[in-house]
Amino acid sequence: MSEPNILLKVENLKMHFPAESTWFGKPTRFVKAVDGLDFQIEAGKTFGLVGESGCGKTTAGKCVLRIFEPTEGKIYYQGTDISRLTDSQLKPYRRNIQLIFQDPYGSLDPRQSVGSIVREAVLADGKKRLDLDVKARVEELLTLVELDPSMAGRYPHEMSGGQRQRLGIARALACDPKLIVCDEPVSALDVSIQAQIINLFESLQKKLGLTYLFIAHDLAVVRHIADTVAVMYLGHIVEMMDAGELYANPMHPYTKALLSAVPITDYYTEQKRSRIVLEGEVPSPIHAPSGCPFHPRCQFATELCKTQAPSLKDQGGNHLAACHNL
Amino acid sequence: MKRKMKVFFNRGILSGICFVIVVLLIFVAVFAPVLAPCDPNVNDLRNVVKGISGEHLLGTDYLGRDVLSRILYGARISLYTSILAGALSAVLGILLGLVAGYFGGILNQTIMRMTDAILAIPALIFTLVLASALGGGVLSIVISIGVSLVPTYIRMVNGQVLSIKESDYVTAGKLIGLKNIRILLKHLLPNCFPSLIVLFTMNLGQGIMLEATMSYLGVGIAPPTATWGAMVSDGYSYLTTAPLLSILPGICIILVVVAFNVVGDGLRDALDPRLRGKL
Repeated sequence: MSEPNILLKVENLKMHFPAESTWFGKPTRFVKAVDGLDFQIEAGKTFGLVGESGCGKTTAGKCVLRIFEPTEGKIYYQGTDISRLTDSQLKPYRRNIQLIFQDPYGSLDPRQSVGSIVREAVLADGKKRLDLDVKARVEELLTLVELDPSMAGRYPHEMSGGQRQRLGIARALACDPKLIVCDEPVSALDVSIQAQIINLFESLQKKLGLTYLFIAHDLAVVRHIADTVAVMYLGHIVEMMDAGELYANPMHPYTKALLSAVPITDYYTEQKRSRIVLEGEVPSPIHAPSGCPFHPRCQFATELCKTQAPSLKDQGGNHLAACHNL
Repeated sequence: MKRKMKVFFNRGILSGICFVIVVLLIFVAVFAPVLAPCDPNVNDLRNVVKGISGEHLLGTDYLGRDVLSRILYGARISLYTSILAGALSAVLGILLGLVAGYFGGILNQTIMRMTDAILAIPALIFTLVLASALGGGVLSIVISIGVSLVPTYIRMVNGQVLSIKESDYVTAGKLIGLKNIRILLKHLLPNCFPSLIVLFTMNLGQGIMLEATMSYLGVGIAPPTATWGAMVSDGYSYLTTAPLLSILPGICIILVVVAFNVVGDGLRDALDPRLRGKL
């Protein structure tokens, strides 16, 4: 299908949820949570998806995981389109793509001990194993995420937030995944713990050759971990570039506004810089604006922006942006 | 295990007393033939409605039967019907509730609408009708009480499952490739336990009450057999002259119902890993 080193390729992904329906259950209006995404992730790389709440980044992740069946579009995993597979057809791919949750505590069964959570994930592929091998594997996984194997008898409520997230990672790794979707994996953690978990993600990527789809709203985190960054607004990707370019050369007005909201630790620099403050609210995805989704809040918007949606155009150097004014 | 015992017994004096009552009830029910001073069904028409005496510790009823022996034997019936009926309704209700909540769709609609239909009929009337349709006997009482308690289980389990199945750990379970049956039994069911245990012990009490009510109304277990409900009902006419005839079995019913409820609360706490080391 595509180049062999492309692990995941998403084409024109759309996810519309019915919002209102007639008496007979026929939907009349849709929440266009994701409205035409195109991106691809190379094996062993990290793809960052950023945007504010409600822009559809989590929905996109859940489509890739096939928690949702997308309304339209194709998702190629290693060249196979998994977007329309039934549950039984999906089975061989299920364990290859795993999810790290935003809320570590909610992702763990409160009635299950640490060891049991990892063991269950190891055993879920249905292969026959010796008890001894399973035990060794569980210990190996716990060590891999820097948890003490002696914690196996504990319960999730007896762990700290960081430890819970490590346990969530260990469970995902138990499936030998190739692609891990990280859905805001550090936003629920303390800043000091965030750094530890981010470093853990990086070291695991080096050790195991993992590929990440990293969903976040924290630009600093994404710039640190991602190779490529896509900025989402209202279900669309508005800009996509190498992570270094994000800070150095943002092109889309929305990206610029987003960046200007990131606090700078240096007081004098912070005082000097000018902020771009966006007017108004994010429009509801039920009544998405015509033309460019960003035009009602964009200070550079022209007549063209109101009628015609811009497509992602190459601005040179692997830098794509969807704006008429570039 | 040791920890669970500790949590269970550290809940204060009331909890301890109730535990003793439940143990006593089981002991009495099992060893009734040994403990009872007389045969509970032998009439002695020369000694009718006698008060407390050396020969009959708690007196005799309107047919001259020994009240103490009848209470001891009545414990058997009460325990037997309430536990069997409770187990029957729990198994049926949990199964249907889990399936309805987890798989949803037409299955959910069918099961839940049938539940609603049963709930629309007052529980006592439903049990009475069912019991008279099935004919007398302990087994028919057990079945009719059991079936009438099923809807509460279905409703509760269904509600719990609906909320738990949207939780992240169930999603994670699906993603790591767990089979539905494992998610149902290993994740959904254990997380329903806290409320299920409480409901089960409440229903044990309710089972005893229903059995007593039905015996009182005369659709229950056939007359010569000693049951607490029937004893309350029989003693009713002598309330002014020999109040103990009704009051004693009545006290037994209340004590056991309360004890079951308190013990259930203790059991719930003991089985909750989140309370480890906190109580």
